[in-house]
Amino acid sequence: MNAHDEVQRTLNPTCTGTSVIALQYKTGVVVLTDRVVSYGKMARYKNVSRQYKVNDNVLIAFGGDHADFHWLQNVIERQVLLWKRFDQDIGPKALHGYLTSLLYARRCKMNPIWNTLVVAGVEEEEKNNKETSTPFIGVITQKGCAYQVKHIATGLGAFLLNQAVEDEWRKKGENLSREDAEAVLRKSLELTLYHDCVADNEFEIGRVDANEGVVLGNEEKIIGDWSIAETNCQYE
Amino acid sequence: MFRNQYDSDVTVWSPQGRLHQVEYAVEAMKQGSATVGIKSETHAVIVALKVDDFFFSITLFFQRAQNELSSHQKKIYEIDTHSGVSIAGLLSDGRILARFLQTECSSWRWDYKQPVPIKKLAESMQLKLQANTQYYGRRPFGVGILIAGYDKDGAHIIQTDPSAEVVSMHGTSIGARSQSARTYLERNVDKFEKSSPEELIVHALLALRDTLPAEENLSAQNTSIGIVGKDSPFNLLDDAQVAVHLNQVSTHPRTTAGAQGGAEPMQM
Repeated sequence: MNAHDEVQRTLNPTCTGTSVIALQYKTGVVVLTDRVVSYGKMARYKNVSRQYKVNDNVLIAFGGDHADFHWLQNVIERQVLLWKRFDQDIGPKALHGYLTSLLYARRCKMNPIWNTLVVAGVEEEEKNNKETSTPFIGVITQKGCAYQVKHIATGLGAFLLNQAVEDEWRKKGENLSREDAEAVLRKSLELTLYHDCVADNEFEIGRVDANEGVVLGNEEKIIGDWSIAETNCQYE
Repeated sequence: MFRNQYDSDVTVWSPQGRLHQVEYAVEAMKQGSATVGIKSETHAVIVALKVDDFFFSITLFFQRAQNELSSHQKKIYEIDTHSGVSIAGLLSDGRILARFLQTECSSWRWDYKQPVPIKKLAESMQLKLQANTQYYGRRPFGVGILIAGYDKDGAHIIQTDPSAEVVSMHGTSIGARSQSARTYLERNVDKFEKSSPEELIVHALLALRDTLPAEENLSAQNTSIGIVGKDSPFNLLDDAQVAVHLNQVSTHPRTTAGAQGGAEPMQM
């Protein structure tokens, strides 16, 4: 590599998404993301979905560079087609394993895919038997660190929300219904709205359910409680 | 088949539209000692005749000598916890293919953290075998392989041969005098689906026994059994473990003697 050649690896992200919050419930997983892609601290692109449906069993959400995730969608689609050659639908565990290998390999080359990925889905344990399917959440960071969890908040949400979500989880655990799980997510979103400067108040909740498949969310808005402004900073 | 001017390398078609080199490779498979594979709803079984000899003259007519000094050749290989293969033909070629399948299984697991679908193994074999039938300077593998496996789609027996035909089977046999075994399988095919693993092994051994000439018999030294299935990782049986199943087989009288063919259906 010549000193005069352009740099051929990613040094920093450009247009980015922020936190992803996901939570397992009895028969599936719910995922919450806001609908803004930021250019630094500027809220540049609105009405952007940060969730991608892979197939009827798997949903993937991202934080980090938007362009990298867009490229990743093509890679994922190629994997989906590869599995279709064997009459199989790729499951969340397999996709998570594959993306882990991919992101880790890229980080080792010092050219990372600048995303934090949340792979959410329902893993089929026995063919054509929905009774035995289990919900799955797998996380992969841009350094290729990967793990499975029952609930997660990424980005700034990791600092703000993991404890809050954990508290709710400890109350009901695996017996959370879908409505309970969504309520937890909506409550969590408020916190990021107050504290994360690149978060937005318009969001969507997508889900993967053993019985319904993947259902992407509709846009929803939340206002939040800003009454603190009156005591805080000379707000009239 | 006789030598002709179109059989010198694999890239030459004959005027009849045949690839003679590929057909000769299939002959090599047919000279190998027999192996049988059968599947039920829940299990897949492969059994193989191991021979304790070596080729001392590689001519068009392979000659074998029974040799008390040599051990029996390994014919069945574990590929992964959910699959195994048995080989018939040039065993050295077979070992290369078995190792190839092992690396396919292991590299799939690296990426996807789960066992490879058997269909994917079949596809990989197909591509690897076909490549050697289409490029100048390469020769087809002189071996047929039976892949036994269990995955989300159930039990599988896949037959491959040097022509790169890769076919899924309910039950099959390849190698010397395998037609007798196939006849047994055809006669009993309706029984396999619901067979228990033990019954399946007995069927496979009975089919394998039919490939032997009258004076020879299955023994714990010359027979290998591989079985894989639901909740049952691939298990390779040799020697003493085989003897247990052979005892079951000996209760069934032999009504065929190799070359004579034509067996009465076995009463199970």
